[in-house]
Amino acid sequence: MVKIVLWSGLRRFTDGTLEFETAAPTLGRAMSDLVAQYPGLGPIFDQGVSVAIDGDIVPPNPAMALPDGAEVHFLQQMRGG
Amino acid sequence: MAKDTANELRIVGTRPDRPDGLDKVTGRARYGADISAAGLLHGAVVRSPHAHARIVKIDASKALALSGVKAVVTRDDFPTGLTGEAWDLQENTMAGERALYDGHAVAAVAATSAQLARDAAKLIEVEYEILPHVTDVDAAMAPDAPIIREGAADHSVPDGLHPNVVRYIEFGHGDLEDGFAKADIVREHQYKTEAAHQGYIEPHACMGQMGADGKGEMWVCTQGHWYIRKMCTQVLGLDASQLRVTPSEIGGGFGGKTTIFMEPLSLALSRKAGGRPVKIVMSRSEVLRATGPTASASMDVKIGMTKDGKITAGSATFRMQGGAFAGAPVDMALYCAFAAYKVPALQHVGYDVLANRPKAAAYRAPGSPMAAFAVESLLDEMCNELGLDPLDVRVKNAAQSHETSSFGPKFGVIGLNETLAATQAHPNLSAPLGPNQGRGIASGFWFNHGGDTSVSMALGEDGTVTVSIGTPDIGGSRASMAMMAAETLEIPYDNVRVNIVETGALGVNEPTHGSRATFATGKATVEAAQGMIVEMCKRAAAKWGIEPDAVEWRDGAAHPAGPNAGEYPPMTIGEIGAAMSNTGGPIAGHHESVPAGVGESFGTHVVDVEVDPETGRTTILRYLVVQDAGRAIHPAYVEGQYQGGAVQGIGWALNEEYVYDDMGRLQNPVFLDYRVPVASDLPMIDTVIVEVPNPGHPYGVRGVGETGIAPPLPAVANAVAAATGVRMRHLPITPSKLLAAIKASKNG
Repeated sequence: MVKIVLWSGLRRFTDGTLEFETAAPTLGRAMSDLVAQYPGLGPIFDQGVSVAIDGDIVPPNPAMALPDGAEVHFLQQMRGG
Repeated sequence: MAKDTANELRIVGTRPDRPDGLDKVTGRARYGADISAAGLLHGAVVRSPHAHARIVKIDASKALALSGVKAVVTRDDFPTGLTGEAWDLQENTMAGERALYDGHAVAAVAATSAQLARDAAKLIEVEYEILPHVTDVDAAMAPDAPIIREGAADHSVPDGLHPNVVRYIEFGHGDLEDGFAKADIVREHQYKTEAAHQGYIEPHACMGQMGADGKGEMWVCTQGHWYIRKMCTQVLGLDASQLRVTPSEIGGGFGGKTTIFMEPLSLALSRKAGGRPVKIVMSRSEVLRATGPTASASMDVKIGMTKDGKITAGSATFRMQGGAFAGAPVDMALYCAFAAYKVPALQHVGYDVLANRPKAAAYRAPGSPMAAFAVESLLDEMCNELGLDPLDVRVKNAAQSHETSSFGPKFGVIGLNETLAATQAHPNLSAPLGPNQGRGIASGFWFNHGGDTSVSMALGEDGTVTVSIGTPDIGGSRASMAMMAAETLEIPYDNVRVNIVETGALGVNEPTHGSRATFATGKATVEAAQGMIVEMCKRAAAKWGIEPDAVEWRDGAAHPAGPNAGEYPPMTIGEIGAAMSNTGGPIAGHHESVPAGVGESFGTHVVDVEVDPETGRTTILRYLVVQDAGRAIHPAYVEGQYQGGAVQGIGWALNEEYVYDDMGRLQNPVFLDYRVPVASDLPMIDTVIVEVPNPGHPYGVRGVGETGIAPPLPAVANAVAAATGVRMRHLPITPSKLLAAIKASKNG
């Protein structure tokens, strides 16, 4: 299983829940499962998010495999640089 | 594999001559304005004198009647239908229905000389209807603030906020109420910083050429020419592959040259002038009025602390304006705000707010300096109140490797502890202080970045190597790449030349931003070199008639891997290069990726100041930067980055600000009035390079370009407070403001 953690500003779209367990094999599948459960997340994800997998901030590649036991943090899109 | 321990390295960590040195001291380096071409035209831009105005009419007939004027463009010459950030870029490049800030481009003209173009620009008549404006971030959020762009907010913004709030950020963890309840003292203050410009010495300059066939060329001063290509073609409705962009030498960028300003105008003018090349060179005034400074900020911070200095909870509410478009770095500011600390409960809230100012661009660790000013100032105030050593408190609460960060994910290997320890051990910390002198300490953080990266490497017939990279050299990356290539190939540094090549020569590269070039381009360079080693070993194996995996690479030559491989004399890289036409053809290595394993960087600064109680002038007496570089490839360049970041932060703390009049017009658009620190203002900046290698890079590199600008803002304010007893919570600490505050404290 993989632990998904959303940023707290998304609480209003997820009935207050910010942490999820998922068996989704890929990042894209995990995101689409979340949107299916909480449609309000759709426009947020479409707009762009930043993702950290086990602490490494990576591009949100939908095909990225999620290793068992991983911790995936969604962060509001980082725009600086 | 690359060698990865310091005592095995031959070149990494040394200080060879910089490859651009002779070019720069002899004037041979070609900057943005140095390009010329047959049939060259010169462009000039007409800019709004109003902070906010409807454009009623533009009449260019008098300009076009001048002999030698070849083209005028307005927004009517751009495609319609763009959305999102592409629309923002187009609107900022050339105003549409309304001018949104003082200096916003409304028309552009091309003529046969620069003087004629400027004269013609003055003849372009623009009729405006002046609209209400707002330039202050808090005023822009007030209920009665003029609406700058209705409907500009994105999905993150909750209902009920002013339409000028276009992005809302909220994140945190833990039980805030419980955390504050556990504190012995809870303090809260508001802090403000003003917009500061990147202040690069070289103004923006470009030459664009665009024919009727849709094929274009551009020569431009930029930190990222693929970004220039993408943005220009988006704004003009062109195919990306049809525009070839070549970067010039660059005279500073600091984040401000990662986007477009007048570059599409040169292409639009060229297309309208029959394909003749058009050069546009900004004046300093144009740079300050119309290119991105960073945001101004208004920040509320609240911290709970126990008597022994443990931080129990913190909250930060930041409001930032980034001009008339979304993009103030409030998100990054919040991510950085408490990053140096392990705090059980935190809440972060941010508002990205529109105002009638130029579109903010990235500026060295965007957002981090403002956040550091607010959080590190309040921590200092609380340490003073509790009688605690500010460095001890930072050690006690320091973020740790592999533990949860303030912004959510776990850190990897970080070097904050080592940085704080090196600071404690430095002699500057025990230097005696005299009357009106004070010492300030502050820490800072930056994420660093990976990003799209593509590198190519080719072996020459004589065994020397050419490396092609796509990240313009703003901080020594040509030297660093040559050193990493030479280290990996085990050949002399002088046998490697690094070129920054045009957009047609490599895959897409992100700009030199996010402190990524030495990390990401360096990692790709090492990978490309290793690819080339594999091929060179194959050539030697074929000659010797043995398997390629029976060949090893060392000392710049292929060797049989052991006695079982056979006895052959080493085949040097020069011999392999000389023979390559007959052994399979050219030998090259390349690598393309978005590299993972970015290593964060922390730094701590210590500054001693003296304040003249008669004038309020602050003098920097000594300044220390201690920062984790992972591993310094070329320590002199790393020290230069530390010193440069410190100096820019000192300027932001003491002098620099955008000053607007009540009509929203910038009052200080020249360096005489927008005063950056110069060498005579400052002592030598002392540096300590801490090296906690980043496991995500073959040589342990962390980016070093940005962290160094964050601590100076609070460190200087903390030192001024120590020297005067007056806490300045609104930067810059100009002599007049400080003098008034000192007098008020004496009277109060």
